Amino acid sequence: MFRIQSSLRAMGPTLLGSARPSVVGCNNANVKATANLVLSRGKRTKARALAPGAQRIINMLSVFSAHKKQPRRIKLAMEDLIRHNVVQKAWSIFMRDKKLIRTERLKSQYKKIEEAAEELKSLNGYLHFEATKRELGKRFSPEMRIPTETPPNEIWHEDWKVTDIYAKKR
Amino acid sequence: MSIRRAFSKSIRAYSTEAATAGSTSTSSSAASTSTEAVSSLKIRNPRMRRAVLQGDWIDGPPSLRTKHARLAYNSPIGLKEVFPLAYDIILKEKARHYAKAEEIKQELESSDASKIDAETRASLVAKYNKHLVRAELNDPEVQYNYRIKQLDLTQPVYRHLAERDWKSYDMLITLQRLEQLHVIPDTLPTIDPRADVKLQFPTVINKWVTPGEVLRNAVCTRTPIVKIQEFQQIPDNSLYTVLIVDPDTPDIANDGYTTTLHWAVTNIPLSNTSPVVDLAKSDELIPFLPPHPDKNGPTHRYCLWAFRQADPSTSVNATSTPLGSPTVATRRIEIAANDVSLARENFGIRAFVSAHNLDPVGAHVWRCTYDQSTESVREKFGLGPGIVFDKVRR
Repeated sequence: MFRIQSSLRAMGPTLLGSARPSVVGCNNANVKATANLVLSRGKRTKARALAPGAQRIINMLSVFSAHKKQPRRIKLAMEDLIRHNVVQKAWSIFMRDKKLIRTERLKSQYKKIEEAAEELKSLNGYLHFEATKRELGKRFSPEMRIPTETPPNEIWHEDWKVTDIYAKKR
Repeated sequence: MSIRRAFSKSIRAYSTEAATAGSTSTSSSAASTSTEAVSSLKIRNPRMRRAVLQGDWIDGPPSLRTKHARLAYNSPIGLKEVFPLAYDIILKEKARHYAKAEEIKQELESSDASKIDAETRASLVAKYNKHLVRAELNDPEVQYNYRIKQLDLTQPVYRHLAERDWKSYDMLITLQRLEQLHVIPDTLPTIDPRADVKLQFPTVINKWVTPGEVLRNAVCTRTPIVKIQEFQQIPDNSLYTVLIVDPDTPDIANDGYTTTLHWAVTNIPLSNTSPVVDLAKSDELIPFLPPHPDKNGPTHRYCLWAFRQADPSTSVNATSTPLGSPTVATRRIEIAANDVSLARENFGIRAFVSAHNLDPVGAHVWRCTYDQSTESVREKFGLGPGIVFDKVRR
């Protein structure tokens, strides 16, 4: 930002406001009388303010710059940083174990389904064929919903009907 | 806030679940017994230890120096409540890794260990070491010791951390300079870097030389301090060789360049914890010759090579070494100082390396050119006036 300002200042007085001494506490009509007498370090003065055109350019450039795009670094003492990292790591271990348990459960469920299908096949081929047959156009019905934390705006399709698109084929 | 609450809740549920299930709750006492003996895995300072493990301090975190900063500091909300739960999980994970390591150890030390072929054994040993590192890696005390650079390199976890640091920056810089300055292949064909080689000249400015740096002649007159840090576990008093060569010595008769040997030291005893070359304990075959380039000549490269004096006979049957002990073996080499292959001029580094079966583990390079101090260096060490090169050959 400073570099942009200084380069703009080099362009001449047209972009910038007129050069005024930047002494805080000078009797300026634009500065409030109460703040006038307080000498505070780093306080912006009217004298350094830019012309509106230049300010606009700076605003645009700072929008493009990567400077403010990343979140501010959390200032932690070393002890707390280590403790924070431990919590992060523990959380990832916890989630990993949770996922592991879930995948194991799903795997065993799938294995059981397969075993049942195999048994059915050995008992009755027709029943197995009927049970595992893939039917064209037959999918999960819209009534079968997975519970979600973010439900849609339209909760239920009240006027939904089965469209018999395969009627002609039959 | 709600996320934090959910986290602490779920972790609490998890830890109780794990404790009741018994499957994941391997005895955490096993982990504590295996690490209790090693004090380097603990925080030495009791005040700091309390601060890291309990978040417990009087006026503020002890790592903050001024009282003002300590008083102004606020810990993140909820960290103190969540940390014990998280630490429990870390300890359980640690115990799990130690149990896995113990399993592998028993497998390798069992009666049918002789049936395991070399390849499987190597992979099992690698797994064992990985578990030892993973067990301690997330421990807050180890992390603290790593941050304050109190690394006990006899421990696998600290060796892992040191190697990770080296590979992330210093190794890359060294390799880049070695390639860019054609140290590879002008001196030796290639390098498989395994050791961090550092070089320092004892002068007013005591700092490690960045590879490829151009130094003043007056700076490098004294014998350098060399540090060869191995990250693999090596036995104490493993033997190493260091050579410094200059491949840019002008050879006017043949219109080219020759290699000059500047320093040769063999049988340097090193270990993981004492990596600095001690000349009193090793054989200095050729004393250090300070760089003294000729006027108007090219900038000279001074290439330092560190070799492990690998022992081929023992490294073959390294498959039978017990777990947790180093698999690297070295041997003593005897070279007479007046050996023909050790002549300073026209030194053949490749022939020397292959003749003595040396294993290059690391390298370093710095450069020197003719400067204001060259003449005084030549005068001080009686190196003669030197050649002055001209644009036109006379």
